Amino acid sequence: MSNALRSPDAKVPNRALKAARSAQRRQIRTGLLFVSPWVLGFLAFFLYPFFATLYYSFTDYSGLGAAHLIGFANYWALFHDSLFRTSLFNTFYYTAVELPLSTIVALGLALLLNMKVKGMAFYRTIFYIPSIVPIVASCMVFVWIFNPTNGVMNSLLSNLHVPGPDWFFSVSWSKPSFILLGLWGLGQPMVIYLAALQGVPKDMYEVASLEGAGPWHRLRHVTLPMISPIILFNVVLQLVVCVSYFTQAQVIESQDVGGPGTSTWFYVQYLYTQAFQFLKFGYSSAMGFFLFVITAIITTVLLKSSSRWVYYAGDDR
Amino acid sequence: MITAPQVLPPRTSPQPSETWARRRWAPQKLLTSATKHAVLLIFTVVFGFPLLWMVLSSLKSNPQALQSPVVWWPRPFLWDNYPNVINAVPFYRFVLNTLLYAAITIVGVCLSSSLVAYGFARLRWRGRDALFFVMLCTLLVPFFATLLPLFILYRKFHMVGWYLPLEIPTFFGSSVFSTFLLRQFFMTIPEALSDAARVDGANEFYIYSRIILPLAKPAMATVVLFQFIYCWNDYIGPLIFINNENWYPLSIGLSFVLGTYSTNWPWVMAAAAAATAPIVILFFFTQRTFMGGISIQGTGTKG
Amino acid sequence: MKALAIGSALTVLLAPGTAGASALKPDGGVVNLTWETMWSGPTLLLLKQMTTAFNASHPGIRVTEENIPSATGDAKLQSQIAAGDPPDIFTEWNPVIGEYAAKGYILNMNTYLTGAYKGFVKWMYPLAAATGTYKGELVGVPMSLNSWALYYNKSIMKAAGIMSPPTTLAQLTADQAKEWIIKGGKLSQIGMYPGANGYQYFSTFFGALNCFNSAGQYDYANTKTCPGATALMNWLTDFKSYPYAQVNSMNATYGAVAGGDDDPFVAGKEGFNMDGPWEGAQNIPDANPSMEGNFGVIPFPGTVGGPSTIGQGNFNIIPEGASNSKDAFEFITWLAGYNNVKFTSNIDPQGGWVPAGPQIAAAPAYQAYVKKFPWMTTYLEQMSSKYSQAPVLTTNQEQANTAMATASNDVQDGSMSPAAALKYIDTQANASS
Repeated sequence: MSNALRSPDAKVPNRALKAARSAQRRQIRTGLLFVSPWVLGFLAFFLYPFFATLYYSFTDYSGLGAAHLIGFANYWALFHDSLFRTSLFNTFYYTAVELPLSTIVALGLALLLNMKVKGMAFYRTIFYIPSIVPIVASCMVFVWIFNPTNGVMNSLLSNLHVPGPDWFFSVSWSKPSFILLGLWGLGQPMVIYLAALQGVPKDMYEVASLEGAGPWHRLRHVTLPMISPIILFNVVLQLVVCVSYFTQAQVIESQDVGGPGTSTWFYVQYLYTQAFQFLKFGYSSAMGFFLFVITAIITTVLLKSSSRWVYYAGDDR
Repeated sequence: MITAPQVLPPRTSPQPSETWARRRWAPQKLLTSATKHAVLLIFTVVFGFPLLWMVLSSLKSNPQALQSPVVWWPRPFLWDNYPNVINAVPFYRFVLNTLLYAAITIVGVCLSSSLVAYGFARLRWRGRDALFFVMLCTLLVPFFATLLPLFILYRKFHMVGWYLPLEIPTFFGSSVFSTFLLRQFFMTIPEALSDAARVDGANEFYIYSRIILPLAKPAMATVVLFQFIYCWNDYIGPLIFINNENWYPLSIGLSFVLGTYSTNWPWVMAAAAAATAPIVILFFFTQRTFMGGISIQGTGTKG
Repeated sequence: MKALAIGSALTVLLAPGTAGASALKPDGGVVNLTWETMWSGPTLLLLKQMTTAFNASHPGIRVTEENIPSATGDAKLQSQIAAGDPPDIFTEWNPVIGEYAAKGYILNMNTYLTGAYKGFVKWMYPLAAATGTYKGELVGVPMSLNSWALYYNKSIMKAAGIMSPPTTLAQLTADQAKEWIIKGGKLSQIGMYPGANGYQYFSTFFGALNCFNSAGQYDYANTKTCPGATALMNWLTDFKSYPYAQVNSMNATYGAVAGGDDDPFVAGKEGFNMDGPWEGAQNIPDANPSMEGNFGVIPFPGTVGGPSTIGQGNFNIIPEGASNSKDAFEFITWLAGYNNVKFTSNIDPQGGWVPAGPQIAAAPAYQAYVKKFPWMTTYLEQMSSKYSQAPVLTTNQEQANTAMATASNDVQDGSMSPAAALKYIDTQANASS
């Protein structure tokens, strides 16, 4: 069929060509019809603000009044802004550590729970609850537990004769402290992994074991491929969450914004400060757009690579 | 490197003793039961300890909570902290506001996200994957960067001051999380099912509503649960768009407790625990419904 | 879709009568004003008293107070202004007023300084008026003023063998050094630690505020024209040897997380602390009554030759686009105490607020308050002192403040040298787009 569409010289009846094309058009129409709610919402609630932000990034807009175009001035200023570089570094440090760690731990726990353990409902609930505790409350609990002088963690460590670090108040331990806080909330991806694992058909495992596949082999060649669509899902979403890290840092470092030194100035925090405290909306729009581009590139790489390691049982695509 | 699932080539003719062994052979275990429980116990302590601390602190008196060296057990148990803090703010009204907000968005998400997910998962059409990528990209724009133009837009539609800016978009597929989740799960349903229906003359909407949706009940239940939890804890959204105190959801109500009683740690912890308990209970009792396998494979149909 | 219809119907049915921030048209001749604040805690009760009293005495105006969480309050205000739908009055922290005024976010109130209000600016303390004036235009009116002085803990002082409170900077540094208790690496008592407020709030004591070059840019690093800045930073390095992390963790323990009001001084664990009158008037009685009577307040022994304080406080502004600015102005002046001396002189003591005008301080109710708490005289003295300074309102004022906070912390934890810190402040403050 494709040959017919490509070679104009071939003696192909016009009817077949037309039929092929109209079938394609029909498919596009049906597809678009189903996704139309999203398309409408996208046009109405996303496109305008997105292009407005892009536009503002080339202006000196303060949030009110006229916006004067100033070309790439904001973007040049970004690269000379040491705080921009610092906040970018901090956010990507956090992402680079938190993303793999949380994926491995969440997946590991889900695999563990999937092994017909007694009391699974209980364990599952316990691991999940931290991710639904209100953010402000979980921040306060952590700050308290990890308080260098009065906190439970350091008092436990001192009982083991290990000097406890200054956690959130130490230049080198502040980011790891936030990472720990983030890991505490990995109940959500874990629960999704577990659900996916429980959906893997048992007969696949049976066949594999009958052929002599050991448990490790089954894990690598049956389990993981079968849930790979969900792994992709969680990784992409967790990337977005890590890159837009804001609330926890704002709450915990409210007295010393940016933490000890500038170790916990996160990107979105700086963006918020520029937009709403310094009234430099144009500049913060440039920051926002810059982050968008970087994250889009990472996501593209992830999705493109996914065709090599993600397996969809529903169809061969 | 994860590859498509494979099975090993069959071994050469089995010996009688091997056959016998295979019939009674249970699959080897990766870990012994003891190791499993040990690991789980360690993680339970790690995850559960801060929760325990939160609850214990909520039952202490304020001086006891701040004592150094650390006091573990409340002496006495101030159960009164809970009714006191609940009565200090219009707790039940906040809960009602949150429930209403969640209910409306759940309807919106179930309707629109499942339709959109079907379009991305079960149909093949030109431009589909590109559009899906665009949808994912909408997640990548930081909220505060687009807030100002978004706010102006909502005001043009007269939606500011109510929950509308948070609710109406959910009817238009704004929950990319839900759409993405459903798309991934729809894609695990064998294409053969759809093909058979198409051969029988069914249109796509019929397939969507009569075949795919019923099979995806656990996935939909997951979406409902997560949307509920999201609404329960949503803070920044209502903060920006709701002006009237009577309409505040529980998440903002909690921050009022924090602001008003910041020197009373036990009260703050009690408020946090009171705000978390309902969804914990909800999760505990509903986890079975959607944990039964959100991939279609679980039903045992051989594709 | 059916669901959408039901959804919006429910929302409409259950919506309260008036949702929305903008003032409505006069109904029955009554002007409705919306007043947004970011306070929390016991202050809210005071605000209620104030609105009730105003509404009772001004039958043609009805003020509704709306309280929004401070975490993203700025974003909310600016969104509302940008959308053309702002509240009539908003209470903001003064450092942002300069940039708001420069960019046209808030109204110039000079137009209302006529008739009965002609003498309003003169009625206020010069410091109060200056802190709310941008290039000659009155843009913010204080309702509570801040003033900073040195609290000292009597029992800690006694235990350290210090006979009387310090009168010079050198004495203060030496005294507080005696009061630190660090046993086995663990901190249990702080002598003094300026912290993030180091540069900004101490600046007037060293004459280190408002240093500009001829081009109007911030110029704190200039040792010739602004020696006070270097002197202040050098003094801050004295605190390098103290455990920054432990001090901050102690702050966090006593409620500093997420904007709490409590601090180690209130808990009786700090020897010296710079703070405003609310510390003694509200925080201590509320959080730790055992500290009452165990503290005193003295002017900070700075180098300028007399008591001083930086102009600071919660100022009422009228956002651009507010519908009833004239009535809003009336309310704002009433809140400040103009033509309202008796009521304000009763409210201010409850909040531990320094009044906006000397007439209120002289009123009997306030005088009785000062008699009860003699340490309040320090604060009042500073309001009229010639050494007190209001920070000049500029477009980059908030950037300067944020940079000062970071620089203060970094100098005190040893990660920045004084010269580098001042340069950092200048660079960040002068960054424009």
